[in-house]
Amino acid sequence: MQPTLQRACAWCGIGFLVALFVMFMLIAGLIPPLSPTSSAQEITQHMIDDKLRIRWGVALMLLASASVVPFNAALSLRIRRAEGGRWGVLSITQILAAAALYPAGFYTPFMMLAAARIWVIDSSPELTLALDDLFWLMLIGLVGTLVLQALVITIATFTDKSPTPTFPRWFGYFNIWYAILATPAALVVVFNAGPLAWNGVFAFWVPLGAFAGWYVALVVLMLRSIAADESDERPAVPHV
Amino acid sequence: MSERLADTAPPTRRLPGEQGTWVFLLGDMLVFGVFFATFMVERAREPTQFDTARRTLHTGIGFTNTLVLLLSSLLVVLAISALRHGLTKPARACTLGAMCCGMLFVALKAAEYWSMVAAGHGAGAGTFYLYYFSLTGLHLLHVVLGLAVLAFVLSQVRRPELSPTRVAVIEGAACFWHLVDLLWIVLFPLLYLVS
Repeated sequence: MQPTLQRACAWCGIGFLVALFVMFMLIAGLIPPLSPTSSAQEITQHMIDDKLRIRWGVALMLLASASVVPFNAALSLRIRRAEGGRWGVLSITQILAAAALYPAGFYTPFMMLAAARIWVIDSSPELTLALDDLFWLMLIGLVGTLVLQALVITIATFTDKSPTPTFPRWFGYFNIWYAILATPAALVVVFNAGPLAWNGVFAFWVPLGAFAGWYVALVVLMLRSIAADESDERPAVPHV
Repeated sequence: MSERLADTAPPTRRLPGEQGTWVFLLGDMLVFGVFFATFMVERAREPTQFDTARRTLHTGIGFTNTLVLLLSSLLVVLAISALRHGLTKPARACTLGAMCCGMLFVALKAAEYWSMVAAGHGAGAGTFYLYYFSLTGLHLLHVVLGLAVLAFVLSQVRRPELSPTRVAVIEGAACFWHLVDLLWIVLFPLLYLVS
């Protein structure tokens, strides 16, 4: 039962990416983002034009983004395995980072966007603008926990003493790569135009592409490691 | 160690470092390629403004930094070569030299940033400056990481015996420093010279 559950949790990572693509991009139409220099009137007009799309996209995304929770549970167990099968600093850091990401990185910003739409009804463009700004700043700028997760996986990969390591060594380097690419997203707080703004190439498009690649690679390698564990256990523990 | 490398009598082509290192190195090059392309697209939009702004850069400092990084790369090559022959002391000295070059690069870059901001050419002064600070800033992040990587190499050089895995990791670290150098060699003409 455990391996099947773990596999299902790992697949939630792909589920999250699909949700992001379908609900956030296709339904809500929030990718590509509007420029941070857009005026309050432009943002409000966009909210009115795409009222139903944004309303539904955000509602569905609020639900679907919860899929990062089981995904991170499975990831925490993989890191625990790499740490020698017990809870150590790495697996606990991973749990805390993931726990911080969901409410701060997804739940709160999406609620803010939902609220932004309500302020439109009250015809208060400045509040709409402020909430929309907060939405993007929190969604993209809160990247520290993701960088931390990548670094935790890097260390776990390189210090794994098991004869059948959880993650291949190249994945350690892959995570350093992701950590470096994700870092510029933190600068959306500093810049409101150009490549480091929240609709820029360095802070949005590259980190987003790298994030998708990182999640897919994580899911594939987690599934592989879970399967390897399963085949290791089968001859040793004859189930009745 | 020297025996292991000496018996490569048939010249087999060997990838330096671990294979995994190249996932990182090639991935990083790819992304910087995207960054360079973005810059060129933006430049094509307002070529005269970019060219005027380009002329305000300190080409002298940029060129000095290019030489500093090239020298550091050479020192890293010498350090690895000394390490392969079991010469711990020269390997240590060369790694330290390379680190000094790296720190000199950071110091020169900081001085350049300082004088640019003082002259009113900060990141907010125009699209060119925004890209200039973003691109060189990302590169500077690589230099700082590279210095940490070289510090790791320095800590390994002291060990009397090095396992093949450790040697591969050290080679990978050296390759990262060469990448830092390579990126600057593209960045320098792109930002400072090409009109």
